[in-house]
Amino acid sequence: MKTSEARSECLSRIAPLHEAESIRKSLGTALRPGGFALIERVLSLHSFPAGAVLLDVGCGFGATAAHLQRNRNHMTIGMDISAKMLIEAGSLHSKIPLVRGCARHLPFRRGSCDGVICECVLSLIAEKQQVLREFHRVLRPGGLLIISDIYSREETENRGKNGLPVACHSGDAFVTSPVESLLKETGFEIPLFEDHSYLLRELAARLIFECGSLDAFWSEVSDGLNCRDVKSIFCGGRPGYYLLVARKD
Amino acid sequence: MNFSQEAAAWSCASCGGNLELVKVHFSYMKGNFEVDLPACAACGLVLVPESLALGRMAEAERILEDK
Amino acid sequence: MEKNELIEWENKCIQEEPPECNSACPLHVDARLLLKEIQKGNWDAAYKVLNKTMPFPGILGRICDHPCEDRCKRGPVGGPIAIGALERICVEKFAGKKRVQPLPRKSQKIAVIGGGLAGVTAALDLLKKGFCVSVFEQGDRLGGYLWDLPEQLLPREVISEELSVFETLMADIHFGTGLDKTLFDQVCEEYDALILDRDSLHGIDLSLKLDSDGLIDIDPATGTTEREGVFAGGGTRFRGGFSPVMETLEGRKPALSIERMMQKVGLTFGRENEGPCSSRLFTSTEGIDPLPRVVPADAVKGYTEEEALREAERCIQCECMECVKKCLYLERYKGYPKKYAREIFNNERILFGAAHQYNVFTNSCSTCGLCETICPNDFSMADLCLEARRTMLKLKIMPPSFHEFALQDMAFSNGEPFSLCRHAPGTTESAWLYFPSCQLCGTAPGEVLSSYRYLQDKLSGGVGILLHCCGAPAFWAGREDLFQTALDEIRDSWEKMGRPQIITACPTCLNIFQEHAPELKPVSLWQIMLEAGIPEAACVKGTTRSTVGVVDPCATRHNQVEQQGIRSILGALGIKVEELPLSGEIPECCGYGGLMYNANPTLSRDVVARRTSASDNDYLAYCAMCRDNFASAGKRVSHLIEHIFPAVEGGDPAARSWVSWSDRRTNRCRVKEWVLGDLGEREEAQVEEYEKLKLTMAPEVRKRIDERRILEEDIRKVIFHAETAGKKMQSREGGSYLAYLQPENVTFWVEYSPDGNGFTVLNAYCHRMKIVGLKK
Repeated sequence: MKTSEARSECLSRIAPLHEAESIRKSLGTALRPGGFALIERVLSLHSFPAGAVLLDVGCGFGATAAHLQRNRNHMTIGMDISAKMLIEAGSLHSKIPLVRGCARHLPFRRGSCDGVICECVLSLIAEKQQVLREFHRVLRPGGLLIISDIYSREETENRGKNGLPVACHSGDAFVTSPVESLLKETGFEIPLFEDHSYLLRELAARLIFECGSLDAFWSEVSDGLNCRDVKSIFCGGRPGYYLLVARKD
Repeated sequence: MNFSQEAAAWSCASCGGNLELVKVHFSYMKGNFEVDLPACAACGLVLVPESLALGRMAEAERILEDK
Repeated sequence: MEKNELIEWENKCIQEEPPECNSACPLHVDARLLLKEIQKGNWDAAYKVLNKTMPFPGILGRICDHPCEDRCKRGPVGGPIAIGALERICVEKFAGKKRVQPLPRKSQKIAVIGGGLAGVTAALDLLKKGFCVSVFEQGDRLGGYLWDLPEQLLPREVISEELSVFETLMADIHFGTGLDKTLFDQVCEEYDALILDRDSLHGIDLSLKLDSDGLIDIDPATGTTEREGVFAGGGTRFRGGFSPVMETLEGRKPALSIERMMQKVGLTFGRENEGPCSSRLFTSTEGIDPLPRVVPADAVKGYTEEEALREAERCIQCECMECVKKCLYLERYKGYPKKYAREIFNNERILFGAAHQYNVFTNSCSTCGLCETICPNDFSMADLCLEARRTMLKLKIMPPSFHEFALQDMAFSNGEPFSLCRHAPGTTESAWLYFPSCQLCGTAPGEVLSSYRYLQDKLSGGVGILLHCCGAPAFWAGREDLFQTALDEIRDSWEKMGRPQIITACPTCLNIFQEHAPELKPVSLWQIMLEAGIPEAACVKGTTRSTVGVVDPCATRHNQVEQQGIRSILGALGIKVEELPLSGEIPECCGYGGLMYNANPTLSRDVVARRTSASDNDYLAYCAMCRDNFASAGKRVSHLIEHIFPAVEGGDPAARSWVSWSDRRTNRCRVKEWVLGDLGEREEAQVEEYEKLKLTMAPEVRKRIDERRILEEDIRKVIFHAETAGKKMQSREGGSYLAYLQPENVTFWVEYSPDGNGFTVLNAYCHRMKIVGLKK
């Protein structure tokens, strides 16, 4: 895709990927690559105190919130912009507090959260700076922001070897997170950054099982648009998947 | 991908029971997958049809092998 | 691969080098492209090609002295293409309006003294680049000597039309200016640099040093004179004949020098290819019909459009592609070595192994060395790909399925079932050590044993035997570790046996030892046989009187002695030889080498199919895998050893068809068993329970499972497990059973029916994905 305008236009015309039938079937209710594996990984390294309040931004069907409540006894509030998803979340998990809201203006008081979870959401938002500032605002000092998302490994590799060394599962690569500088500017430090790109391969393989082939998947999602264009938005520059933990100073 | 035909065509020789469609768990190269396949829940036997093994499964294996 | 290594690789492949015509042209006009466009009748596009490098296409196109024609590769094959005449018709035909964009003006002012062809070329080049140019001309028009050329060669209005570009570019032209020392000194004062047209200034004294032709002395590489900022060119008229294209170059050169000077860049570096230069491109003219040049019906008017098309058709569009012409693998990927080197580099660096196609590509080369032999620069795809495979392993991006089966086969050969090292029966010393190879044992076990007995009979000092794999599969897979282990094991045995003379029966083993363990100093069985004498039985009885196409294996590419030796033996056997097209120095691999068959079975099949069609005669190979691969494709083929040691009198070895991977293993075990039997050693072989099962298979089922690389042993394990544990499914229609088992990395599925005291195998398939269990 040539211009970022064309890209935005295309993005707005196709249904959000996570609503695609095949993605839902392939990702399961957690709606994110790896299910709960990544959030569990973080919790094994950084525990929250008893009575901690967590916020899942873009909670979808509320699976993560429910999981954290059930298995870790953390009070987790699920927030999403989609009323449709929240209704379904509500019927699946009646005990989870759910809020409809937008990441750009979080309906929470300053310093009210111990943790903010933002999985598979940031890459779809254009106003990243604003959103990160909101996360910073609602976190208490020392609170944790947990982000996992898709990124372009090609772009980050090209930025040179001054990035964070990464426990990369495909050799010694020096990659930087795409939001690293924004996070630092906003007042976060970054104790953890890991590449988990194999999860995307897993997703791709699941899509093959579901749709028969990757081409069939892209046709379904493109819904009349040029498959190649849609695919290039999401697959350009060697897509990878990362996990990041940021701490509010 | 619907394997109810295969489920009907085969029975479990171990216990004599029918094969039902069950979620079967697979793994390869750090990836985990689930497919609805004919299986005998009592004996733990699973049926992976040739078409699946040589078709979508082989494709998925290729994708997982490429970094 | 590092960036500097990539550059070295790319330099070796000359496919992208400009052809002779382009290189010979002082202006580097892309004559090849010009002729291609004319071939297609695209006159507009053809004109554009000329316009790209020629300053005044209408003029030069008509009067160029075409030095390109002297180097045209078509010269010795019917006569050079009439490039000059074709340029002429091209510029005559072009009817479109030329557009020249005046560029944003630079501040530097350049003067050109003398409006001859060199001068106006310099002026135009500099104007197009944005410099302010003033031209000082003695007469009332620009063009100098051009006006003196015959009208019918160069019409007056064409000169005017072409030179009108100076009006469009608003050049500062001073007509009627005396060209003398006064002007010169004035111009030197007022301008940043100047160019002297030596044709216009011939005989005029500017107090500058002159050369032996009376022209202002210049450095021919740069056009500089003894004075800084003063450049000169042209005057070919006074050096032995007006060469319009050289005259043009001599205007262009100083203009380029001035540009460099203004950018404060060195005047000399990187200019070796300015002007006529040599071409590194190799083009074969083999098989080109020596068609003579098309002669125009009207010599005065020149070519008609139809004649021009016919003459342009004669252009062979020079390129190299020699390796691609011969190698199916290189052809299939629609590129050439220079491109491939870059793609492999990108795959490693940028794509990081994510491009499946490139992974397959890197592992599809048979490493046979054919390209290296053919390439004028010895580009070796084998070296490129083997290095890339090692890198893929280092970066951990090598898909495991590419080589696993082949490496497992090698592990089998180097393990308990086959590996063996013994002195001959009744001896405790060995002056010789026979290394028959795992693949020959796999396909012709009886003949291997006969050949061993023959060696014991003919050679004195004791002939030991070493059963092992030489490690070639590991080498091809890029697995240096496994390769060295295999060689170390062989070296150990050799040392323990007292360093005997190694005799190999397989050309690949011979090659591997010579290249990677030269201390072993191996010699081939066939050379021994030529010295010690071919068994009389073979000479007398013989197994075939018909002509055979001899298949030289790729491993004997540089071993003429071996190839000749084989032919001598065949001669002694009374077997007539047909020389196949890909033989001698240029054999292609049969698809086994480089593990092509493992990573890219489709290509492997196609390679063999193409070779089987080279002759209707039966083939005779002296490499076990060549024999087996051709047999697999349905070709009647035999191995030399089957003629020397015929198992049956009057038999027809060429009728023996393909061998399965399972049978290869069984055969190897047999060889070990027989050798031990001769020695009186009984191998207390542990026969597994599953090996006792009796299996029956229809021929097409046998072939199918072999293609899927499923061994009989795998099938036995599945059935044994299913029957003893009772874990199987049954078909409602027909009652056959279906069972599965995952012994190591692969899960095998077998559909079978009990049949008397055994089982009939109906089908088998496999996958690598592991079944973990049922979800609750």
